[in-house]
Amino acid sequence: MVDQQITALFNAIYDDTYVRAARYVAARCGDTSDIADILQEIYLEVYRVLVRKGARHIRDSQAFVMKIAKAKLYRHYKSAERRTRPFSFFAREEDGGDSGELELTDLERDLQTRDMEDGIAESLAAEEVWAALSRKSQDVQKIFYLYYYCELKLSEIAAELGLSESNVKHKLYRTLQELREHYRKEELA
Amino acid sequence: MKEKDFLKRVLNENLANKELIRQRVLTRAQSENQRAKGVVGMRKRLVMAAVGVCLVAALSFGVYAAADAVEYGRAEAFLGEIGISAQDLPRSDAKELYRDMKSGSFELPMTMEILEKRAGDLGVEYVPQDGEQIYRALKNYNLFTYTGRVTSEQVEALEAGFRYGEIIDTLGATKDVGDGEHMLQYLVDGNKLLVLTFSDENDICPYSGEEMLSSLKKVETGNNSEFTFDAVVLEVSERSIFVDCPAYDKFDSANVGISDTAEIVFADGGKASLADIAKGAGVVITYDGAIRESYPVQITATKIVIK
Repeated sequence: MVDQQITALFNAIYDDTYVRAARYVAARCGDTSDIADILQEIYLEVYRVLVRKGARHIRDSQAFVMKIAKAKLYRHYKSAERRTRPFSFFAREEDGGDSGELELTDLERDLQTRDMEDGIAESLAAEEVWAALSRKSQDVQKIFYLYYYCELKLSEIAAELGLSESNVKHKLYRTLQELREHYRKEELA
Repeated sequence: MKEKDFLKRVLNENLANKELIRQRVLTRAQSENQRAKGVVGMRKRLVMAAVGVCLVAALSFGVYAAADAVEYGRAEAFLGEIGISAQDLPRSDAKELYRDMKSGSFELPMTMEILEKRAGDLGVEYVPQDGEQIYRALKNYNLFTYTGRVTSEQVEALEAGFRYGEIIDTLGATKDVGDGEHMLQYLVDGNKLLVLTFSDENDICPYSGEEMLSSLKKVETGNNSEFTFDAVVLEVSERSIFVDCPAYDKFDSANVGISDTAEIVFADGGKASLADIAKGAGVVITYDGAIRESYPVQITATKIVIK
């Protein structure tokens, strides 16, 4: 009975905080393939605290999870075997062009409203798209995750990753053009 | 299907699958719970087998040991608030001192002796005759000028999920160096700095003591003696420097006046001047022994070695 109550409470906290924690981890991780592991470590600790201390100890679930997230992210990369994989607590600016190809508002409208072409075998397209995306740089993968999964605005992604907004826009748009080729290939096939 | 929904699904499934992570966490957490219950069950059976042989002795010793540990922990925190390290005293003395002062009695000769010595160490010229007055003066002095001392065992005993207020109760009061938000600093084992940053004492601290211990910052202490200490320069003014020295026994920051006769040298013995002292530099300061009671305390250097 106690376990069921804890699990119910955990699920509520999980649903309430997951996207914010994912956003935090994705923006700061050294490798996007670590996101799932770090999130698992974070929420396992949340569950353990619930078991040890009970619900009374958590007054603000968002703040509580975020504090654990910071500690776990630090700890994850601090362990000796992962030291060679850098991660960033600080904003940075990279090289990368301002595409100038699209105004931001046009791009955002296009990203939000575009439909997939009819007749595409979505499961095949998903495999193709992921295969292509996973070969892209860490920045590009993070931008896609933060934009499409965490639903951040381009300006927020730029702030999280320490890139200029035009650089984020450029990377997103350029990669999206490549990915759309995969939909088309699927459609033709 | 919208492209954005399609890509969201692709990223969720391949980078971090929310439902899969939830299932993994629940499976692992529940398995840990089961294991914990199993361990308790096994222990319980063993204790039941042994209980007929040594129930009274085990219980007596267990209760005594637990009570002793709790009381000693409180004594450590209480004495730490006035700059006295319980580690420097016999365990029984530390507990007796704690009981005498905590109860407001201040009757033991040892209490007066220790309080007077501490006041003398801090350069207090007029020491009141009343033990309670000395205690209160030391406590006030320490809140402003002294970084609380704790041991790594005290920190290690903290669990993730404590409120910061509970941590302060456990470790004892210490200096708050924060501006806008709290930044409590403790000196761990005499040479490492623990900094706790939070907004409200009711905030939950997500770190376990073990995690806190892994983030400690080393503090230089090799030159600390009666009138000499290691410090880091925080500010340089025309004829003085403001330094941070959390591991020094008498204060943890000071405005150091530099007279014309003060000797300033580099670590290799080469002559230097005030102009060579930069913000952030490590220095070894020797002073004339007088501590002017102000906040921050003021001292006059006789020698400064720039590291």
